[in-house]
Amino acid sequence: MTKSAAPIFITGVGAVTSAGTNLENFWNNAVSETSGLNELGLGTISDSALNTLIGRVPEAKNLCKPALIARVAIDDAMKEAGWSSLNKDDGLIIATTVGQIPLWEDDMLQYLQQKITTQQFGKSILHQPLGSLAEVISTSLDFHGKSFIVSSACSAATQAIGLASHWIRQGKVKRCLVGGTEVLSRLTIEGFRSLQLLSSDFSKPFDQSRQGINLSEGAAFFCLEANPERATAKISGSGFSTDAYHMASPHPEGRGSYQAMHAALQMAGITPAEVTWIHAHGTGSRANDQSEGAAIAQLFGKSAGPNDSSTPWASSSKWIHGHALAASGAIESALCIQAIRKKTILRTAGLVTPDPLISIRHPAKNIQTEIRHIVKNTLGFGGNNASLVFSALNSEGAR
Amino acid sequence: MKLHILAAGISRGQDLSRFQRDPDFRKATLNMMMGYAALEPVIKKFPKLDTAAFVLGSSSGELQTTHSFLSSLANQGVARPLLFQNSLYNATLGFLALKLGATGPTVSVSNRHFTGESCLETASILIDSGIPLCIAVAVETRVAAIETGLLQNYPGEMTLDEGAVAVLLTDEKNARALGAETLAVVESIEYHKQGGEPVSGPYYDSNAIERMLEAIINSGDGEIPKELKLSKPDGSFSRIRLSRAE
Repeated sequence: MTKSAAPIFITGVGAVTSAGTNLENFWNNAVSETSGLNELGLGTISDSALNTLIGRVPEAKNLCKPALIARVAIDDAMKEAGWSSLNKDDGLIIATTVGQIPLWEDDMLQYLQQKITTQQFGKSILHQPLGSLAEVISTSLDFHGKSFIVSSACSAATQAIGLASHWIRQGKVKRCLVGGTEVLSRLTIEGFRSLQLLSSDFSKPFDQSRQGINLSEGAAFFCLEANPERATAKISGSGFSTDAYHMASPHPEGRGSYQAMHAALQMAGITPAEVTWIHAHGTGSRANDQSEGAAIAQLFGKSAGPNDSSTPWASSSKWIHGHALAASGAIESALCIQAIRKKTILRTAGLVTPDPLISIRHPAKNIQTEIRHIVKNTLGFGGNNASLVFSALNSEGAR
Repeated sequence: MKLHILAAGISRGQDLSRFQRDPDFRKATLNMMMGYAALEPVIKKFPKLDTAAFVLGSSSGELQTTHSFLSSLANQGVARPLLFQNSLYNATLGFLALKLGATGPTVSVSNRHFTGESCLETASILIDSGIPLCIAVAVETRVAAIETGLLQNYPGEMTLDEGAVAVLLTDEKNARALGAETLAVVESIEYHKQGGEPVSGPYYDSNAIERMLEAIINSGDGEIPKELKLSKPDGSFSRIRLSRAE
């Protein structure tokens, strides 16, 4: 990747999650550790919450859930950025793994049980290609410029944000609206259950007794531009890598994750010592946390404990909002931007007994401090890793 | 944009039974096999591609495996972990990256009728960010069980097809440095959401790169078409501008 590339500025952020349906609410719940997970260990956005969202953005009324929550998050982000519309020379990138699945999954199950006709099913399956999500969102925004979907599993949104910043930097689009949206489905719930990765209890990232992940839904979007005028934070680096190890398990020593974080720091032109906080993927699965912990320890140094100021703070927020797969990188990036604005590092909610095999510096409580640089890290099925560096506008000075 | 095509492969209507006998492909889906078959000529010409970037484009992704997973769930009440793992859009890329030992950036993209074009666009973003080489693979497979239902949405003259294509891409500076022959240069891509004639004949959503390669191959040593207009089922179209390398 390019070394010390020009930063791209974040001028607007919007988020709709199981732990808060606007950014401020979401942040407050993250700080007060009010989880959006339900008794089944899933993070859902209820029908009543959807109705409230439609009240906020009437244009979203006829959209299906993943497009609706995305549209509301987009509206919030654009309002903050002062964008009244998207122009033809702007870009749109959306991360998702299942797209508009609520429009076709039930019909496919019914069709397979011969409960509906071929003709009925034929209409709904048209919504299966992920690109249909970009089409409906573009239409609802009256946007006629370039758009595409990134579907690189759980690293998708992190990659999308990195690609968007390159796209602007290269002058191929003027501004870019980028984010991720994901909803729960039979496919993902039954699929992750079959892989024995789900925790029925709330997940405990980096805990010795962690048992698995909590699936969730949500969306977060960002307005990115080269103009810093209305910016509150910037993207200074991004790095992508691949494990080449296993289809569904990360490299045990975090080889690829190390490489992605290293590339992101290199592009930002900063050293590991300049990073204030690592917002980890931290899903609560045994393999993910071990792999990511190893990568962090290798790049930033093994932490001797909370008082070891030679390493940055590292934590996960999955206990708050669950794991929204492709959208997780966007949802957690929204928390990173808020952290820079509010000068607050979040501890890992749900963490009781840190796994002694994971040598990262866990904050014992939320910490009020100036933040210079945050590394947002993600890992995904298929071995995709992606990292971003978010920086304060004035990121000079001591960590 | 200026993407230099250094190598290419197409998998279309090939006999893939050799993969079914290969233990390495025991868990592979049809997308994965077709994608790998398309990659083989590229790997033969450039055997060391482990640090290259890799973009995979598919409109419907692993729909065939998703259908199998949901079929097992609907009719037997059983969720099969391997089918789930292989049902994800990114599974095709994950498998091919594993086969190549790829450790560079790998990205899955999708964009319905413009999936092939977005694959090239993403490759261009990665190359211009400083990664010298990028593999782009576009793949789409037919799902017989749902084809009748799906076809009712498309123009009568269109039939659903399948295929996979792979290209190795770079920029001008690196093409010169490598001293490799450039098959053609992708100068630019334009997207038009309306105003075209709906496509007729065999079609699959991510076929733009295959159509582009056909035009290059058919031109032999002569002039390659400077501009390709690629029609889509809904009247949208793209224009891909090409040139020979200087």
